[in-house]
Amino acid sequence: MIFHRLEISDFLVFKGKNTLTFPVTDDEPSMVVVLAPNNSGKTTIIKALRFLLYGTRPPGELCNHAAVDELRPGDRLNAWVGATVSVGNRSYTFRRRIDARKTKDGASEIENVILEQTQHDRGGDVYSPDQGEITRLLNSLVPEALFDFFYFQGETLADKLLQRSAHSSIGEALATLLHHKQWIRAAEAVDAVHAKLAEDIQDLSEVDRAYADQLKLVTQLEEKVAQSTRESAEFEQTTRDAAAEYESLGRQILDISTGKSFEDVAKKLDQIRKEFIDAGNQTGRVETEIAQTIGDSRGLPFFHDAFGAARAVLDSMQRENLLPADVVEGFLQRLLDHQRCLCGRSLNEHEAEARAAVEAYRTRALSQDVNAALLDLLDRLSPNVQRNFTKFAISAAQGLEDQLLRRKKLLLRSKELESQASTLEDEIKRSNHEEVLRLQTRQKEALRRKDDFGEKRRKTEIYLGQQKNMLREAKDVLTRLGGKGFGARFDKLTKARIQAGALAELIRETIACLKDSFQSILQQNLTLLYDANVTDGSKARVDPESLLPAIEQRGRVIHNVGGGQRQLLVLAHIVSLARLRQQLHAELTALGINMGKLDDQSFFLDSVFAPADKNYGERIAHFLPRKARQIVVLVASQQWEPWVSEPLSPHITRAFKCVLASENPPEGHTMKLNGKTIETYRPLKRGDASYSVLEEVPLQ
Amino acid sequence: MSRVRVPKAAAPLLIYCKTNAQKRADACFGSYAELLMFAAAVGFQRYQGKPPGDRIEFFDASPDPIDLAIFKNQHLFPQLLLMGLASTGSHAIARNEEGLCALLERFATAGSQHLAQTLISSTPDSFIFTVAHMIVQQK
Repeated sequence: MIFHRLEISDFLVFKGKNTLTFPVTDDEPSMVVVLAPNNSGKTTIIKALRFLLYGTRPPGELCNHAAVDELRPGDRLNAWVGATVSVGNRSYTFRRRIDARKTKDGASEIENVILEQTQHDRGGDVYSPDQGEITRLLNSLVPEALFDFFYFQGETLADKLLQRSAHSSIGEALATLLHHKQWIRAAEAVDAVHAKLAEDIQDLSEVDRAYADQLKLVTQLEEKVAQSTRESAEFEQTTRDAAAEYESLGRQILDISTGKSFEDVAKKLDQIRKEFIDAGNQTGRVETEIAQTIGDSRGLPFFHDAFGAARAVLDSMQRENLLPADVVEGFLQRLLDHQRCLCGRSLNEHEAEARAAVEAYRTRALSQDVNAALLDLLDRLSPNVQRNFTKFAISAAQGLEDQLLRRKKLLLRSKELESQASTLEDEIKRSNHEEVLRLQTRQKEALRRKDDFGEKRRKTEIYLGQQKNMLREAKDVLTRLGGKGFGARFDKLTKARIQAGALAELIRETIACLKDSFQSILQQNLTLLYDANVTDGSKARVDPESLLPAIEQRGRVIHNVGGGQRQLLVLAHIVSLARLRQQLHAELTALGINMGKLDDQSFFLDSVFAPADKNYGERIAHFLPRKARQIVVLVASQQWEPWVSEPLSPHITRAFKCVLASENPPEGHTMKLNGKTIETYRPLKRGDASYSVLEEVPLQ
Repeated sequence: MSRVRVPKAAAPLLIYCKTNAQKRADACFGSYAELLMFAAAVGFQRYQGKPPGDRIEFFDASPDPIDLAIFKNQHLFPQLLLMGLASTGSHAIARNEEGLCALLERFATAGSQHLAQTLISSTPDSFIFTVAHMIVQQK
């Protein structure tokens, strides 16, 4: 249902006749914005729609105060909400009129509320009370339970949807949309036809009792033959299955006895054993490494306290010029033995002083190998050399630590593999025996079934042969008893009865299929609309039972979503519902079922940006354009932020404003659209009742 | 040439020498000299460099005393000097081969006693891993 025009006249805050005309083209979706300061009538538009469509009266006086103030007591007042809408190719104009009178105390008293259909005539519009056509149309197009989905009022719908309170109403509304009751009625009607045909057959049979009795016998025999044929086929099949199972089990037992069935287990066991041997070999290698490292360490790690003390002695030797030795002990001994110095001076007993000096020097001198060993030691105690004892000791300890750890891991692995191998060995031993027993039991059972059902089939075949003979004889008697026309009519009625039964079943299956497709179509659309626009990676989900939306985040389904995420989810859901209608319409049309009432639907969206932060406000503003053929967005001045107006403006096809006439200007009474300032306040003199009017805002 | 006698305390450890006739598969010491040097290091640490004065019993033969030249040939001499210098605090020990041999015998005896005790506490198969853990603890 697409709106072409909406009129609100002296209804609630709106004074006089206020008209919203909507651009409607076949191809291009339209977006209309109504900009309004707070309390200037934005939500009244939604209330007016509900009043128009269902006659639901909002609390308080319906007639506009300012309009009533201008009347004298007793004067009559006509307030109304009217619309021109199109459904498919047809157009409807209607209004819900309030027939009221001003009372002495200045209030308005409602005498009547009438839904009127409007006919356009040369002399002007002609109103006539609705004879039910408009009411039925509206209830069919937009059941009241679905009103909130299309004429969306901010938080109200979100609460309904996400607090899971709308379950039954949504279900019922969707059932109405699908003409569920009509489908049920159709099934019931076919059932009635089926019953009537059965009665007719009965009546026809009454005409000739003998024929009827014979016919009954034939029918019974036919049923018995059919039954026996079915049973025989079933027994044959069961016998075949049992024989096949028996054969198969025999093959399995053979496989086990030849070890084929356990080939996999044996392969696995073989693999584990190989790994076990490999782990054992590796362990052996590591243990050899450990022994080698211990030997190579030569106990040096235990000498770490000796390093400092030995170094101190060596340092003192260097200070005393004993290390490195200038002249080794052996050389001095040779001089003493030869009794002559290299310089030629005598070192014999007559030169006692010189000899004593050389002897004294010899007592402190080092032998060649001790000198070399001490120099080597000195080198190894120096911190900066590669062969340093400290480094060597640490390296040996570290190496052993690594090797011990590797050995530990290998031992654990070996233990694990041993355990696995043991389990598999047990399995093979146990399985061989138990599996064969189990299969043999099943084989016996299959053999028993094969024999039993074979016997049953044999008996059934004998019985069937007898029944067929009886049937043939009964039919011969029937042919002799009845004329051709009688029998032909009977056959015709019987065929029709069977067809009616099949049709009733088909209708019921169709209803079930349609209901099942609701959820999948909704889920597809919701995924398309929500998942692509949300910023936190959550996914939309449709409850298969209630068809209500929720989100799934990190594997958890969340129903009570908040903020802009909530608004986006609800918008995606209502657009999905509209698309569901469109798709069902297309499917039904393709099936040749012309419902004619399910296609395009307009949306009026009130306070859609109210709970959204900048991030989500922007997302929603980007989301809305082109999501339906007709979208009317009612925006409060507080929500007309740049991140909302900028994405929306290029898509706006018409704009209106609510102008509030009051003593004091409301907050945020000026707004910007396409760079132009829009004034939404009109001053009134003190004491006058405030009111609102709707005015179009030029886009250029 | 000075010689180092093998203390009887080292008897249980001889099978961990690769040169022993009954050597184990996990023998870790290349020679008796290496075994004594290793045992001496353990003893040095246990007695904090002060040689114990206990009476020592030695093998007269099998194994025979080890000539000091063997230690020199197996590059163990610098380590022997390290032990001597650190234990005596004097360079005189470097020229005293008999003294060095005596020191080695004392520390090797003490270390062998400890290692033999360790062997008794564990099992022959796990001995080398216990020794490995002792070394790791020196880090």
